[in-house]
Amino acid sequence: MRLLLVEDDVLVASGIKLGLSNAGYAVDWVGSAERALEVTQKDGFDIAVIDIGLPAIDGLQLTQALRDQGHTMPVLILTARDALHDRVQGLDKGADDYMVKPFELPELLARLRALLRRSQAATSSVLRFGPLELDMALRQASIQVPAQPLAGGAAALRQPLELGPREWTVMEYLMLQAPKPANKDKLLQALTGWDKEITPNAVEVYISRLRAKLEPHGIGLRSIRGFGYRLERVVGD
Amino acid sequence: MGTGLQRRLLLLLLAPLLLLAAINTWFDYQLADTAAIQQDRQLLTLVPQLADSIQAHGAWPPQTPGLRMDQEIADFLATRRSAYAILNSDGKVLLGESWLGDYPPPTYEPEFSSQEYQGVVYRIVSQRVIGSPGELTVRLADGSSGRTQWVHRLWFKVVLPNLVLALGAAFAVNWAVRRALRPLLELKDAVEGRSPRDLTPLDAQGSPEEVRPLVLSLNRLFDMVNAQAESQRRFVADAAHQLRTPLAGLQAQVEAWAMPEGQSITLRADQLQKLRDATRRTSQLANQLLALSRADARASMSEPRQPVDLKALCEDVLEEYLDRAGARQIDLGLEADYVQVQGYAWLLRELLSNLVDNAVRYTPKGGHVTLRCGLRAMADAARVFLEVEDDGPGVSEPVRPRLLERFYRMPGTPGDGNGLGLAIANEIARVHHSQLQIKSGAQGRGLRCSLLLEPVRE
Repeated sequence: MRLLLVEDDVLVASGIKLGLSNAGYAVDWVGSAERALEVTQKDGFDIAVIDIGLPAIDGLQLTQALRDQGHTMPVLILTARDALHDRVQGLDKGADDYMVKPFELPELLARLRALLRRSQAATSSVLRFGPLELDMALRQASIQVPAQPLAGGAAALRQPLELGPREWTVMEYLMLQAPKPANKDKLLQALTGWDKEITPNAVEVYISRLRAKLEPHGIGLRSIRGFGYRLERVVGD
Repeated sequence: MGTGLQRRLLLLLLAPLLLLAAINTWFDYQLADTAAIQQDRQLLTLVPQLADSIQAHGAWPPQTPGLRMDQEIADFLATRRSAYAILNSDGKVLLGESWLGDYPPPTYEPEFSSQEYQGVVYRIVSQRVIGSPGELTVRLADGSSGRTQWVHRLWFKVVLPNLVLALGAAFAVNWAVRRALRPLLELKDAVEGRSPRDLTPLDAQGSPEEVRPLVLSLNRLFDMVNAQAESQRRFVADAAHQLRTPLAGLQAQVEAWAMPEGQSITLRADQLQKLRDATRRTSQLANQLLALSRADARASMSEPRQPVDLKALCEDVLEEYLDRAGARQIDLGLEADYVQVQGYAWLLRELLSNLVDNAVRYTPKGGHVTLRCGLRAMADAARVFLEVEDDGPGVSEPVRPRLLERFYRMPGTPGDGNGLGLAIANEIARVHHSQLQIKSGAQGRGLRCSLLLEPVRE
């Protein structure tokens, strides 16, 4: 993944660059909006991280300029904590998410992953979460299973996952939301397209069916009391 | 302050005075008018008598008519500044004062006019009469008083004295007001002349009774500002001290690595962990200090409150803490009804984040933390509540009030808190005219932090 980092503070920038590089991103770092506009002329980026407080042209103007030039990559805005209205403005100007500085690296990585997944879903019509893939065009779910050393296959295998129509709707909604939790009320609304009368208990049924299908593959469906459900990677075991 | 009050007092005192003067003038005018009507009536009764007293001698029309006046007319002419004339039909004066010569009136009705002669304004009645001597015009003039004089009287006896009175009153009132307000003006000067650091009490004993309450409340305000400035100073000192601790750790580590020149540095995992913890703690402290100062500033600013959807806020904060709660195997849940309050969304989010952060931090593995919002019926009215409850170790009742103090940490508390979270929450509650209440959770276990808020009036 090629990532554009626009940040004028050298210490902050080198820290972020190191962290993102370690996480597997190819990071291009520039210190000003003008340079950012130059490099985006030549090269394409998958995602951009832009600090608001840049010299001359600020991060909001830069985001707007990038959008005006037709760049569709996800943009994550970095803002100082005391800039109260920045985040609202940032989202208005075409940014996709924002983070308040100072932040913790794992959080930034999680946000970037979510943004990338969303932008891929918008362009490729395939949703991914861990080993799970949902092909929206073919309406097919599949799961990647580790290659069996005994079988001698070097490549991992994709194994289809059977989902009923309502299970598909629930799954699709959960994947679109991930890693954020899915609101149970909204899930109900998504399902009412199928059934006029659907009870929260019915949602529970689909969730438990999905759980049974996903858990063997290391994907959990965590219930969040009073709110809804969240797709999670189950580590270990 | 001085001039505004002074102007108002002057206006309030002078306006009725001027109104009284105007009423006075109007009454005098009415009186003068009545007198003038009476004068005209008197002249009208005298004219026929004067006509009757004309006696013709010799040829007609008489060249020099004689007069035999009644006693009444003679008295009138003798006692008053007055004049008469008898004119022939050409307007020529046959008898009496020659300045009264004039053409006869067009009709036989008596006609009134005013004329000035030798500085006196005369009221004149003219009437054509046909008597035994033939047709003549009789004119009788009265310059003594009445209508001709009333304009002068109005000016000199009514309007002028009233004006002088009003002017005098204005000066007197002005002087009195100035004098009466002097303690206030002196107070203003005393307050104005102060340096911003001088917050010693003003002299309450020496000020007049009416001003004393003002002086006392000013002194109360000074006391409050003093106390606040003092707590601010203490806070800054505490904050600096708190910041220094993690910074000192950081610096020591970094200095140590910088010493051996030219050598490559290797860090052990636990060293790195410590470094990261120290920086995170410093960042968190800086954020919290900023939040506190902004909550303080907001309390004194007048930015309007907005309706805030508490359910959406709870959902947002829940999302934010899901990972942290999951990592500690804490069941983080929500019991939220849709309610709106008047407030500052970002401050309420800060408040809720601090409460949840605390709960997640101090609740042991396998515990429960619940965010709640909704309507609660109180004695007087329904109030909106917002609360966070955990089933952790809780805090004994005597210690609970201390939790709201800045930088207070319970002895033996694990973790890397700064002792600011609940202080911030309470500060934000105060901005919303509420107070953070700390009680024990369900069945006397854990901690329940809640606050009551004003619902949005539909």
